[in-house]
Amino acid sequence: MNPATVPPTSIRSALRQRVLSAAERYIPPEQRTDDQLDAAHRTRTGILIAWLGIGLAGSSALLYGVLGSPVSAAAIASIAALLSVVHLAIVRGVPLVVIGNAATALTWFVTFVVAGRTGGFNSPAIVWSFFHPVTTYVACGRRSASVWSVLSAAQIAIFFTVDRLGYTGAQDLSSAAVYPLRAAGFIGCIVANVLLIASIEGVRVASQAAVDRANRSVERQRILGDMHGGVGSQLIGLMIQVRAKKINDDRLLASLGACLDDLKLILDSLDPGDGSADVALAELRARVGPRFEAAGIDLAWKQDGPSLDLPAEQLLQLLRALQEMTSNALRHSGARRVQVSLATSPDDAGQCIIEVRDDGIGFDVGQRRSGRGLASLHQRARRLGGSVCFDDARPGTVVTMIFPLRSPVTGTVQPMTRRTRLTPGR
Amino acid sequence: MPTVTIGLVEDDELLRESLTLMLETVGGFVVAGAVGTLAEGLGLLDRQLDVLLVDLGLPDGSGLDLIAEVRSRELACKVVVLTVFADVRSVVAAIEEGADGYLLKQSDSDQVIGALRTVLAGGAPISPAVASHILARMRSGSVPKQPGGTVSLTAKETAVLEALASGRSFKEVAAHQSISLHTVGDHVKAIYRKLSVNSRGEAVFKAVQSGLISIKP
Repeated sequence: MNPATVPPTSIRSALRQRVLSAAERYIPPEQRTDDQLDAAHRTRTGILIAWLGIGLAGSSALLYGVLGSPVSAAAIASIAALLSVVHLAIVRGVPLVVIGNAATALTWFVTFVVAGRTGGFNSPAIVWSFFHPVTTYVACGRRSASVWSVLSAAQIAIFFTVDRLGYTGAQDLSSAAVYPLRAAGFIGCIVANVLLIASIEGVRVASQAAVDRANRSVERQRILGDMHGGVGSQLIGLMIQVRAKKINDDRLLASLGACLDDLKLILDSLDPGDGSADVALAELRARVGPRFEAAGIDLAWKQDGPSLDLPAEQLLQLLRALQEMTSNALRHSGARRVQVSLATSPDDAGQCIIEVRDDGIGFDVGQRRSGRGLASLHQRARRLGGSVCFDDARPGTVVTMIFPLRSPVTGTVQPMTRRTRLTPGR
Repeated sequence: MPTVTIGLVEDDELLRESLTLMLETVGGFVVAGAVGTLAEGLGLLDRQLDVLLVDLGLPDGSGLDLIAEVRSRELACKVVVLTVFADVRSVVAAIEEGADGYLLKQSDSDQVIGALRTVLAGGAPISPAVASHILARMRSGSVPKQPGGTVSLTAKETAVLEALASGRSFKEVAAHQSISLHTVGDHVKAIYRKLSVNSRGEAVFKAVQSGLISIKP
């Protein structure tokens, strides 16, 4: 998603969008979804920061040489040092929150030393105190920011009190040097804080990419599992039976057809078109429909509620369950009419209810004939975090599966969020 | 019914042979050539074909090139893409290139012949995924516009496409939209034609554009 197209909802998110889109510029679009994104981003952000660090170190030397102010030069050199630490941390993959809080702690300490030596409350370095909470709020979240707000307020209060009491601290500034130095101090502060935010947002983007990659790998494992467990073992079973000449052509055809169906379901669950489950469900309906028509069974398909939006794993379980429920009705019920209903409750914490109702011979006979099918339906319902029940509604059977939407997906890597990060308080 | 001359380009040998066998046993079809590569497929075009069955993934190139060649030579033959699962992207790409429809590689000869006869009779198959893909593209405006104006779907075509995208069969769509079965097919055919006209219009547009850019210093 292009950050620039998202309307900002608050000043903070507006700032974040700005910084993110600036950070995005350092990664060529073709690399954004690539495995190289993480490395590219870290390297580019790292290089940027290193250059600015070198520039600032150079300007501190210049200040020392031209203006003869060792303290101000040291202040700017400390920013340079800070930047090189951030650079190293980014390149080495230190967690975002550690960089953010360590950097703030360092600038907080440097503020104390520098302001103490350059005019106390009147020192340009005191500006840093105002920036600490802002930097940490954007980079590390509210909890870190509140801690640093208190610490910064304490710093300002101490200098203010000391100033009021008449202790002005050591003054080594000539009046001619104080204004350019103040300006340099201001600019240095702002540059340092903006860079911190930018670099930290860069790490966040990179971390998100790493999480996505990890999730893709989990997804790959799952697909492989589905292939091996489903289609693969079915095909091997068929091969064994064909070799032993223990299968007749009709059963072989039916089994191969089932393999193809399952492969199609796996593909549909992975590529659900417009992002919702609706296309995959429509494909299933279009594939199953003609089979019912050929068997002379009237199939009614009803879908109520909002579009289903399921993770691939859940979608596959749902598709397989529906495929089984309909093919049970097609093969075993002896019905003339089958009604499939899909309903979702409109609220967020809703449930999905699938019902396949037929007017056939009833439940008992169906159970005897397809014991294995029923067991696997129970298994699918469990994997969806729900349940399935079979009701004898003579004439006919009603099979109902209920599962919660957005049930916790296990085995997925969660992205690094504010809540999971460390704060100075912990 | 006159004999239908068919050209088949499919790299899977087993599928190629079984399709040939299937078509020749049923009667009414003559397989003029069954080949496995794009190069050989291009050679087939010199014969008087009624239908060209094309697999898209060929060892020496894409079947799309073959479709483009048929269209650029303005041959009268119908082009039908062979596909296993009606994979959305390749089907839509083929239609934009000017294919008349697609055929699922099925084991059931009745279904294959039935689908082929439908295409020959001027019908066009469409899966829900293909329908919803086309709808999404039309809505997002990513369907290339012709330089002389936009080609868009009529309200009726959109309604038919929406119904097909929800998984309804042609019969159900006909009942749902209160039109005849034949009309549903005509609508789909018209949608396919618009897609291919659009993409060719854009190709010309692009060519003109790039020409202009290269002329300017």
